[in-house]
Amino acid sequence: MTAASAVGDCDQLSTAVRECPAVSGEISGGGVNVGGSQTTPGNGGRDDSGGGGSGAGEDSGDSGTITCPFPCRPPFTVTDLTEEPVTLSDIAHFRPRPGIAHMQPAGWMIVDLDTNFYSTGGSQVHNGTLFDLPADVRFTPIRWNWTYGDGTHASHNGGGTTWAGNRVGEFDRTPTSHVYRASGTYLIDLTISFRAEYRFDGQAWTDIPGSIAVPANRLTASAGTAKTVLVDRECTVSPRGPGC
Amino acid sequence: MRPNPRFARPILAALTLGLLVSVSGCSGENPSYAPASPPGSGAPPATPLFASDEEALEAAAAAFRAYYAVVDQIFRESGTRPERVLSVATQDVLVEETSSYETFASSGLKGLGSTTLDSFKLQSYNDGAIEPEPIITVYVCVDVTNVDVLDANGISIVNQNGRARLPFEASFISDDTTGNGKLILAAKELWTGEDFCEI
Repeated sequence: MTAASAVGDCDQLSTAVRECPAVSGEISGGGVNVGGSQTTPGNGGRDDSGGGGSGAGEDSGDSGTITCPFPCRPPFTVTDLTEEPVTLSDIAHFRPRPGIAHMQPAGWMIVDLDTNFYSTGGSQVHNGTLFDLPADVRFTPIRWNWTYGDGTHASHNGGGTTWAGNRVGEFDRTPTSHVYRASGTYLIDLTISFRAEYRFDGQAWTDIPGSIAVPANRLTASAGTAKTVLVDRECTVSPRGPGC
Repeated sequence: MRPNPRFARPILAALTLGLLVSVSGCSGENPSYAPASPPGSGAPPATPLFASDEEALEAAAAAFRAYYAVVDQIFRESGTRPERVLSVATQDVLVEETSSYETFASSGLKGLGSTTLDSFKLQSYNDGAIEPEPIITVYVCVDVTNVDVLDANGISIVNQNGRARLPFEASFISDDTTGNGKLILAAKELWTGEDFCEI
């Protein structure tokens, strides 16, 4: 809903003094049959008889034909009119934004200690058109597939978070951490699978079967041994250090 | 190579961290531990705001009634302190209605009576909505049959031939300030489709 404009609007004062513009019960330009003129899926074969322009939003009952003034706005769900479900290919022009892969430490790891990997970026709603009608598509991440570059991979049901977010110390295990066993440079790839839902103006969200896998940024990092990357300082001096 | 026994384990010095990050060609990550943006968990809200559509509809009805209670009171007080409406509505709603309140004040209008609401019907409900998307949108009839507006001379300025019952579409979001899932009005608009308030 947009902000009120001046003339013909129905603000509180106009409402109270009964000067709001007349609510139209008529259809201007005759009834437009949704099934016939819109490209809603599965309606190509419908033979809409039309409501004769006698009133907005008339439901003609058993035939399932519904007429309404253009643009259609009576309180019914567009999905009632679809015979086939909306598919992922129908929303191909809505692209989920990739999540962002992060790691701790950043860009390096210690062999045999836990390296924390996590991603940021959650649910997204994209506004656009679907079958020429204004629609929203919502992408929700459901699966995080990591390949660690050392021949191993993992599939998580959450994006994970930082050491601090997990309330652990550096190099502690987290639900999304990984241990490298050999020095070297590694390429870490994350792909996030999203499920999708759509809704037309003013309707409830409807699931679209399947999911969309979107690669995130690649991380490059080098693993070294503890001896080569750490300074000598005993845990008695700084007890919260890694491995203490 | 396994780390040494506990007390002899070397620990990380911040200086070394910085040095090695630059030497090994870091991925450009900020070494602070605070996430740059909220971690994506992908999970739906742990507990839904409302247990059912019916409960959500009732909450919206209560929120809209609360809104009109404040509006009617502001009108009774000739438009004074309109910011009171922020307890039941968003800033956007207040801004949209500012001219109503200003007219009351400048013209010395006085409201009488109370607006009633009926025929609530759910249009959409989504408690996973991301602001500014509304959590719930409803259809409702706004009834000003028992409302009067007097001018500075005490004469009613209500159009007796006008519609006293009007169909509206109203949207609500959660009031984050109270943190208890209380709904506040985010938008309302005269419904220009089928008039479901005709008696």
